[in-house]
Amino acid sequence: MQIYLPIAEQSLNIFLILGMGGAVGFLSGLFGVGGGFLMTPLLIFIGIPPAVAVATEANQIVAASVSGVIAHWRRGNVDLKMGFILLVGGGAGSTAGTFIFRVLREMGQIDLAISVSFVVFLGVIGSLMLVESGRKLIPAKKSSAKRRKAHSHYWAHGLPLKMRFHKSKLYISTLPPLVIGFVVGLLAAIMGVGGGFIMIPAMIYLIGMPTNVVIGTSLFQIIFVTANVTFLHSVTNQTVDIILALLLLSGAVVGAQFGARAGVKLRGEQLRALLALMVLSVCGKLLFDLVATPSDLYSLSPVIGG
Amino acid sequence: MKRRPIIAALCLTAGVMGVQMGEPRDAHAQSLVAALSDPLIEINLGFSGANLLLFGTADEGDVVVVVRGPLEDVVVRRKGRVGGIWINRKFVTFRGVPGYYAVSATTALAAIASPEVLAEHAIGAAHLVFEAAEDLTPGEMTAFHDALVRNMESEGLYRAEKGTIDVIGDTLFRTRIEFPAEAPAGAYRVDVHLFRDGELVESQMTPLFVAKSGIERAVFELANEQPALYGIIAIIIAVAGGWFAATVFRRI
Repeated sequence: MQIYLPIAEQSLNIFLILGMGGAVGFLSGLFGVGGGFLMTPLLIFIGIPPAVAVATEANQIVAASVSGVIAHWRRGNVDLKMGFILLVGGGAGSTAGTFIFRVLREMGQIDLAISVSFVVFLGVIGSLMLVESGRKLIPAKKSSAKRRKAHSHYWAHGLPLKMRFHKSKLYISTLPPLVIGFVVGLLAAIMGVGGGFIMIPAMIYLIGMPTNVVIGTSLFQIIFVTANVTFLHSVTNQTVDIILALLLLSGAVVGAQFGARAGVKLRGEQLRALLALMVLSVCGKLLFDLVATPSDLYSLSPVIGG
Repeated sequence: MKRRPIIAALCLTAGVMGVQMGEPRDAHAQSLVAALSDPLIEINLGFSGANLLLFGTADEGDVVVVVRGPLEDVVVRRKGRVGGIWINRKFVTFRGVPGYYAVSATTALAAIASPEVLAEHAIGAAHLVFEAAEDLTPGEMTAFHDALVRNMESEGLYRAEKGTIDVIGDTLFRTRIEFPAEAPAGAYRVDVHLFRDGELVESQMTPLFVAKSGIERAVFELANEQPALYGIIAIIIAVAGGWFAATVFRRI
């Protein structure tokens, strides 16, 4: 059954979109990841214009994050104050990102920018995940873990504008969360991702937040950042496809529930290695498309702006 | 489906005219009459392309049908290799490019008229002339022009000389015009030309509209005319969808 997407202006099989939403949703439920970093490239692979893929996926992540944050909110695992500081940075970052996106689009370089960003981030994250799961799969002879102390003092503690975060039990400078929020906002606007894969490690290792509030707080701020991205892309680029977003999120929310249930039963490390391989193969495909000689050196696009 | 009786009426009219055309005694009688099976293509939720039937009658000669979509500005970019990766380098903006272009004829175009005559009437994608916004050498101009036509053809939007016209008896002809799902919305024109001995004898223009309808139209218009409102609606739908999913699945 075909469905015509009003903004992407093309006809696609409805079950393909629902299936993609379901599959990526399943993985995000299984691993507790957002899924944007897989969905945006997949949308591009099936022929959705990259600008539409990014803006629409940002819209879909709003739904995924709302759905995910509710459970964390009920358990009290959202640090609102920290979330707000991250959000200030995220708001600025996503606004700047949308502006950069627009400029790159007018220059005809947005497809390249999106691909290169994904190759870099997917490559780094996929490799790290693979190494980490490999380390856990192969029994370590001598563990060098426990390097990180609960209250280690490092350079970030010397920064000004300190603030107390009760929920995270921290008294730190607001500059690192502002900068992290900004960077993640930038990525959200250019890549159509929530940025949890950057945000969560950064919150743990750079800010030093306790792990129990990290996911809830990250999801909380992703809602607002991706909502801002959705709004700004709608206004500046008119590339948010509501019909596509609705189909993706329908598939994703169902998939995520099954993924979350499957995650309880299955053993994690092999699966994590599998996810790492998937991330790396998406990265490899994008890299191949950048490097391989295209079948036609010429391409068409409508006039943007001007 | 409400238009069915109208189509039937059109068929009937054309049929009657066809009979009249059989004996061209009146000097002012048209020697070429054509009609479309539908003057409107609606892009609705299930749209995946469309087929139209064009039929008519013509006196002795060769019939050429040219369908042209709405004019747009198109940027053609050429990739070059920089540091191992292919990136867009040189570009040309062409103005007045039809978003759709199809030619069908009773026989090969080359046998119908000389290239000069065909070019004069913009028959054949190779004869389309676009105005370039940037200065170009003639060689590059040709390369970019060819690339534009080639890309449009591979997307199924330019269907040059692929279609054929069936001739039934002496005067009746019909041809099927295919529109892919990517065909742009807007005003189209269908030109039916009658050639005899390499010269254009008569032409008839029929308008055709491709328009988004129903939810497709509502979404597209809102996105382009009220983008801020559209963005807010997109966010509300996503928040409601996410909240709904979390609530429903919590109870299961």
